[in-house]
Amino acid sequence: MTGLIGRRLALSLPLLLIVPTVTFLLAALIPGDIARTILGTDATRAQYEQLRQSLGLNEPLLTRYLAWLGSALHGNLGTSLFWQQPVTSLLDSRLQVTLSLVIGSTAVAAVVGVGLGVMAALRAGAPGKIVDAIALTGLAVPNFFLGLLLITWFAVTLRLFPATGYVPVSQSPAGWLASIALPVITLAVPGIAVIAKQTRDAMREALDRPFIRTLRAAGVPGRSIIGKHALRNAAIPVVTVTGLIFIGSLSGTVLVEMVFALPGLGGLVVQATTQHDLPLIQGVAVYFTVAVIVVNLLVDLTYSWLDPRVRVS
Amino acid sequence: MTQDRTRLLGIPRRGAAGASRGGGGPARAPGMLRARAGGLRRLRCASVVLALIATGAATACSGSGSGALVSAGRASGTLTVATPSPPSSLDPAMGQPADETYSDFAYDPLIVQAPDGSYRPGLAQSWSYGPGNESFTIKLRPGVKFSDGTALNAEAVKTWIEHEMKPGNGGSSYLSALKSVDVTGPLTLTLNFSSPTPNLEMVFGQILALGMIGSPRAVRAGTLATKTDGAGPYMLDPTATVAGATYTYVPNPYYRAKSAVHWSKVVVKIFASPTAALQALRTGQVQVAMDQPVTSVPVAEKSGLRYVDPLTLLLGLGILDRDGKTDKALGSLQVRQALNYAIDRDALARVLGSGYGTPITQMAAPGWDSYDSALEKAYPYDPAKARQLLAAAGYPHGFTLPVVSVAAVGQDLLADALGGQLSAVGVIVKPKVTTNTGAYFQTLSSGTYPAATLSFGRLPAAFDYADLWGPTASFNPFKTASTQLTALDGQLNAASASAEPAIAKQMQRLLVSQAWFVPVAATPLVVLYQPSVTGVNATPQRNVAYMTEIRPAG
Repeated sequence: MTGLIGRRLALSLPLLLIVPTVTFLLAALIPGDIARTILGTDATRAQYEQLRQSLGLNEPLLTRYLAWLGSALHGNLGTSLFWQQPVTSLLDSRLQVTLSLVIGSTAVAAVVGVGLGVMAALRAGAPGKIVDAIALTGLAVPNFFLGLLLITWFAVTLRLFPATGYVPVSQSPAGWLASIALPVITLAVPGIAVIAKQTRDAMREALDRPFIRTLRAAGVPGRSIIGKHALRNAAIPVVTVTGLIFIGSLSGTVLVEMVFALPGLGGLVVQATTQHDLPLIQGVAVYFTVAVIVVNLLVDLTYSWLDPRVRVS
Repeated sequence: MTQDRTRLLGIPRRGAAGASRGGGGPARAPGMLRARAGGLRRLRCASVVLALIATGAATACSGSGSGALVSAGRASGTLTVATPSPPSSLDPAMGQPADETYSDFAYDPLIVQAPDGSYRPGLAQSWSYGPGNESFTIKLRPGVKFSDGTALNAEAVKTWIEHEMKPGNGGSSYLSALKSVDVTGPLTLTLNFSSPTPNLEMVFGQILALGMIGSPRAVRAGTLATKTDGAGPYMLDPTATVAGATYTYVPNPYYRAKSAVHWSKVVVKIFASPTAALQALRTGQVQVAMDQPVTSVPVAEKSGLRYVDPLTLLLGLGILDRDGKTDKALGSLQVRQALNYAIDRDALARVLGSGYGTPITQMAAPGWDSYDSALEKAYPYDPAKARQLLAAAGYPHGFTLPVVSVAAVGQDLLADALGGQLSAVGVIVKPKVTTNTGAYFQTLSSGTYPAATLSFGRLPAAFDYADLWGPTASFNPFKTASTQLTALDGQLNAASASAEPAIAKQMQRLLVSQAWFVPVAATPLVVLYQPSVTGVNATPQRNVAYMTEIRPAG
């Protein structure tokens, strides 16, 4: 197991270099000038130059990148050009929000999606069609539109949940749960659709295999056949899709955070991009890359737990 | 505060699958009995989770006075304000006009502009102009302290003005003629100017914010960009602030007028989406929502909310290359007038203002001092006349007009709409729509585009020359000069307050006759608020609400 983790991490480390590098180059190409954003339109050319000089913006691109890389390797992601605060403290203050959304929505999507998929696989006919309908609707409805609908129904009309805002779990666990309920549902719906379909198809395939017939013939309880054997065999593609949904949710948080006015990383990266705040954009890229690496590792570890052959190989 | 005229704002439950499976089925095999028990356990778990969520929701919605969640229709110890954008800096000297929501709470200005447009003492007890508006004497209020305990005195104000005069700060725009600051007593100082400099009440008021004095200790330490240190009723609580998302203020223990501190906590939250701000207002999570689109008004009114609509944004096309340096056609007065005749302002005002816009033919809106109603007849919609003028100018088949625009406050919509209308007379608009204001201003000021869409709010007429049409104005990249305009600007600067409107109207008449702009519509931005608060005073005379006036109603 340790060897597996070590190998996966070694293969993932180049990502930590490639993604921020590509992000740096792309962000440097965005038109705009943060000096003008900070000083406004009426500063003189000399004033813009002075600010650019003080922010190091006149250095060659390669010099700036290498300077950033050098300090990043020491755990220092630099200072936000716009906020004049350390990038890590800006990101850390918002990380809990985004993690709550992404982990929560992935968990909800996995549990509900697997449940619906198993139900559809076991009961042919109407349940299968219902799952298809849910899947189609979940994928077709834009998540920001769904969010607005949920706010209108459950927050404004029924007053069951807050319309906007985030309550830290340290302040009130119940308030935290209430504040993320609607955003998590909004983010989870497309994932439920995808996981339900994937689970249904994988379960049907697993239930058709000869070893299932053998188990039934041996008198193994149906529940055990479904939960212990068929589902385990069907789980690998479902785990893969769940990992992809988690990664996709990271970008999905941008619109959801805007609709629900949540102070997360998605909103911060939009602000950083419009403000041309390169260190902050780089910082978000690093954080998201680490999240992707961790998720991929967890998916691989789950494979090896589900399928012993993966461990052996 | 820097002189940026453009307000660019201008964004499952868990199913009980286990329970249902455990509850049904014809066979009562031991496995099924175990499943039913397991299903009941899961049902109980689900019930606990649902109860927890409901409790949390009830707590969150009802508003315990903590955080930013407040019940609808009940003023509490917390005021929560929704704004569309975060501050560019918490330092009033470096911020943009849209940042005054943040500055108001922590910084009292020298002079306060009242809702009726008049001026009353703030940190300054009294003030006066010298001959020809070339000096300005301020007498400060005694006994005032900043939130760090430092006393307010003439030296502190001088330190602040020097801070404002640093490159890029507001003083370099509005106090460009400042020669010296003389401290004449512990609480008195005189500003001396090299040329007439009127309207200093507004400059040192809460709107342009140069008079929002910060502690000299904080100025020297350079901490004001991220922490407040003013003589206002509140101060920033950094522990409850998330940069770019939530700014929390608590009462300033040294504030001079305890009765003016209406709230035990103030929270300013950024809502990039106006819809989210409206929903938060409807559910009582916020009490005031700043700078909302006017399309929110019908829903707000149905929900029992109130609104004021004092802030008018002018939208139009700026003809930057009036001398025809890069685009020969625009150098012709006939061509510029043709562009004005080719626009159906009534139709565009309806579209751009979502039914609430006002068509305008001049660079001022109804209610402004410089507005001349007679000018609205200057360019009636007449495409035939436009084509006639173009032909007379040597462009019978029209010409191509590159225009720089930005995807904010309807400017991109304006660019599209202009393209449609001008194409009918043969003028093909080629818009370059930038995605952010930095790129927009960079492109506009580079002189590579002969025209640009514009949006801006109201400032005194004397500032319009410096901002918009003077030879050094940021919206005049080709440095077009007019001796008549310069003369009028000189008269304006030396005029008394009562004489200013007549001179400002003359300026408008000149601009309209020369067709330097193609004004289109005045569109309102609104402030929405709950009936549980009062003091949201924004009027045509003072078109920005002063945040510290907001207090619980009743």
